[in-house]
Amino acid sequence: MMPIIEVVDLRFRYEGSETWSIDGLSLKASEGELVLVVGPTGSGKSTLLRAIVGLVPHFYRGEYHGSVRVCGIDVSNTPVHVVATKVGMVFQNPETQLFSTTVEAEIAFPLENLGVPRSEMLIRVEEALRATGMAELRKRNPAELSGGQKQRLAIASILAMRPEVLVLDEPTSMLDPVSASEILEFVVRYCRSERRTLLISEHRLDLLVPLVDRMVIITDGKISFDGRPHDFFLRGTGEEFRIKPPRVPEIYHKVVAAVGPNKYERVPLTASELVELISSGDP
Amino acid sequence: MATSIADLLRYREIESPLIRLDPRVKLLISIYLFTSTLIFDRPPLLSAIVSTAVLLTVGLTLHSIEASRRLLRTIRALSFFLAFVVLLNVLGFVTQGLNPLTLEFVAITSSQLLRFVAAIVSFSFFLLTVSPEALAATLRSMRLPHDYVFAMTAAVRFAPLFLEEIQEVIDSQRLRGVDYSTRNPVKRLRNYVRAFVPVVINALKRSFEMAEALEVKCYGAVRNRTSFYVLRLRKSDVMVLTATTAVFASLVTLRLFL
Repeated sequence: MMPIIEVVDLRFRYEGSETWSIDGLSLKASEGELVLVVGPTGSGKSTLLRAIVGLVPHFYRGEYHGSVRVCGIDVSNTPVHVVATKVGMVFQNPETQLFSTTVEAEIAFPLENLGVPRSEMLIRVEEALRATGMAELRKRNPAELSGGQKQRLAIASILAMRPEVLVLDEPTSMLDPVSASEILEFVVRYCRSERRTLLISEHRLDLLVPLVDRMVIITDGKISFDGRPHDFFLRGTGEEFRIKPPRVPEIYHKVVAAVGPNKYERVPLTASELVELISSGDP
Repeated sequence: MATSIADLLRYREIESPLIRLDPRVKLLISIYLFTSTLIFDRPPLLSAIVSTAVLLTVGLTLHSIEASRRLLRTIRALSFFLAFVVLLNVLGFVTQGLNPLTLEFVAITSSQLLRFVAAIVSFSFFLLTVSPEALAATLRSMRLPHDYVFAMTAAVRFAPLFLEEIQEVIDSQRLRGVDYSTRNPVKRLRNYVRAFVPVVINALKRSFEMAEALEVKCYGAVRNRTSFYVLRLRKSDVMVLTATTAVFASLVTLRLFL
């Protein structure tokens, strides 16, 4: 199957910087795949995500080598607004992503910018409102919404463009735990049901690790691990990559360390998997 | 202080029968009300009557407690300017060798104060009942370039946030011992300069994030942008417009023959 995202030997350093933020990174993702991008602060996660939507090198200038292709488009030669119709990006801070004074106007905003006819716009706004469960808030002022609702609105306005790929850069870093889990569960559910590709960078691994297909660990602008979360946590808790491991695999490894070497082929990622493992008579 | 100004700037939909009127009609009514207060500048009694009529029209048609509260807050915020009007009148009387402690002074000054308040309120009437989106649609219908209209709606959206941020910086500096209540004006100014640096840095960071978000929301992608909100004159709009135009025309005629 042809990959929907194809990053080949990407190197990028910001104007005026001595070090490479992305240093020879290659990555492929296929349609409908859910990929979690993890790494310590400053590892190059955000730069990679911005390179996929074309903000690097169009918005952020610097030295750029290699290539990024999304849906067959060479991102470095295509304006951001063209790539943005294929790749929807949501940032950390919901406050700086909302420009309108009603929820429905906010969802319509990118469609207005693209010159979508009003009749089509009405359908898409309705679709995004329903998908995100915001139909009852349509007339509300975004300034009056909660943090979680604001981020949901930021996602809704991106979904109205019907992108094939969703790129989310730490979308829950400014939210409380309950709103964060609601947002993440919604995004995963949406991408699964609509067969959208998801690339998400996130520090709340407990919530996402059990839900994604793949986990990519980035350190110093390079990929240190690329595979199933299960395979990663079978090796250890990942502390050598300066990431905070999810609670369940951490407990599992402490138990294994206490009772003896790990001879089992599976590692639990959720509390219910851990309970299942314990009740099955494994360590 | 910053948060109370932020609250005034934030648009809230109010319960009022006027909300459903076309914003262009509301703008015209505002202009009629404003012009009426301007043209009836004398004699003081007539001027006061017209201004009171304008205030009553706005108050009664808004028909909302929230709107009245906001109007009162606007008037309170204008108290400095009202005091200034009184001072100017006193100076005017004194320089002409007249005694300001007379009934004539009271009549002239109160009619001017009423006119001033009525003039401001006539535009508050428009701003209180028209959402920024509707205002943007009105301005676009007047063929104003979209970039200017967007700058205005974005300012309405972000000004309260900016003011809240200023308050946060001031509060956090207060917690670290900076005294903003000092009576020494030089020291006070110096403290505000200290708050200015983080506020500017935050504002720059925020504007950078906004620019990034605008890029991925395809701002400026096409020349012929479409609009979600479309203004359409309904029968009720035409009726209100005709009635108010007739009243305004009568007032202008009255003024011409007075």
